[in-house]
Amino acid sequence: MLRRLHVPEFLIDVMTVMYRFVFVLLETLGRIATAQDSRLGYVNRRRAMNSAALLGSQLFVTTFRRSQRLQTALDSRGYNNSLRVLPAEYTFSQRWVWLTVCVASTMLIVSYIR
Amino acid sequence: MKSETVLRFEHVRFTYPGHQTPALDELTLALPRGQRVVILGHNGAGKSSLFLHCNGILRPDAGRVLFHEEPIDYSRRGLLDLRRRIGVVFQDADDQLFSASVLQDLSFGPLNLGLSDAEARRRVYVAAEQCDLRHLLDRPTHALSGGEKARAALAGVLAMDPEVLLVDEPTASLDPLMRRQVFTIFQDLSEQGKTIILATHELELARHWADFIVVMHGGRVIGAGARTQIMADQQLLARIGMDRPWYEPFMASEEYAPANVPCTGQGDS
Ligand SMILES: Nc1ncnc2c1ncn2[C@@H]1O[C@H](COP(=O)(O)OP(=O)(O)O)[C@@H](O)[C@H]1O
Ligand SMILES: [Mg+2]
Repeated sequence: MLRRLHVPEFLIDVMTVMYRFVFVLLETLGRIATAQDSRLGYVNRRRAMNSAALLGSQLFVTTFRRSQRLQTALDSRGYNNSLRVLPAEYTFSQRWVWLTVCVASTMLIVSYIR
Repeated sequence: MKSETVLRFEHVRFTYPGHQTPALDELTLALPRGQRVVILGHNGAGKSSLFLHCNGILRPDAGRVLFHEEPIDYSRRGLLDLRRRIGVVFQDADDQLFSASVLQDLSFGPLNLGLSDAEARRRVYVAAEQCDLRHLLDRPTHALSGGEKARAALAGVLAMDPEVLLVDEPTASLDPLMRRQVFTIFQDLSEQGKTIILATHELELARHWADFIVVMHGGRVIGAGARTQIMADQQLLARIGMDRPWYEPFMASEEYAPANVPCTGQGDS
């Protein structure tokens, strides 16, 4: 689909992984938030601000570690700088593609600023 | 002729960058071909690090690793060949599944081997069949259950048809029913003559499944041998606190009596 539109190869790869990552990220986000809530992390506004900040930094660390493990797993299956897979009948859902684009560009901007 | 030892470690030492204590420390080990092997050790013993040395993701700081008695060739081509023949299934399936759909994910390995699309597709179907995933091939990856993800991660490695299969903590995230499914697959593979190596901290898995057991502690191998030999070695098991069940000190003292059998008990009714 994207390949036919002459989108550069590496951008497609980034999108593929990000698309999947967004779901994992959201899951992680949900789990941490629930755990915080269970220990009354959102009992009042001050605690909530604090918890949210912790959540943010924890998510960042988790994501970084996870990306390293993903790299290891890809290498183990013979990754050589291109994520070639068979075309699937499955189509990306529009909504999630846009969310992925947003997250991807945010991360790009963040890594640029740092 | 293929050798009887499939993987050999000679005085391997490895320390993660920025760490003081080595993850693998003077580790020496020979693993027999075609057997069911369990690497037994507590968290942090070095099991995962050992695995990553087997397929050349990590390189020893000192010592060497041999595959079929040949030192690992760390060139690009050498590593590709090694990773074709040694498959690693990681502990957390989410670390491994990167694609939007199951079919795509399973095709990744075969296509990296340079197979044609048609051959890759055939491999995917065979692996999917083996892991009971045929009906899930078009599913988005994020819509899989835990057990399905575990099977998808396994199938993604089996699609490359490795001769040695390393599985890190296969029981950790699976309930008993899912374990039975996954171990049925291991059994098939084992009967095909493949070497299967599992890392675990569960003594029961070693006791009931392994042909060959390796006991690791603090980055070293403190014992390795046939199951019967290791299981009889109380002194060895005591060194890692596995000579008796962890729950022994907390065990309920009454005898267990099935509910539907009338209790012919001594004075308790
Ligand atoms: N990616 C890593 N970075 C730094 N240290 C690590 C990493 N992975 C493991 N270690 C350290 O190496 C040692 C062995 O860990 P590991 O091989 O994961 O053991 P096991 O799989 O038996 O639990 C531990 O002390 C652990 O903290
Ligand atoms: Mg481990």
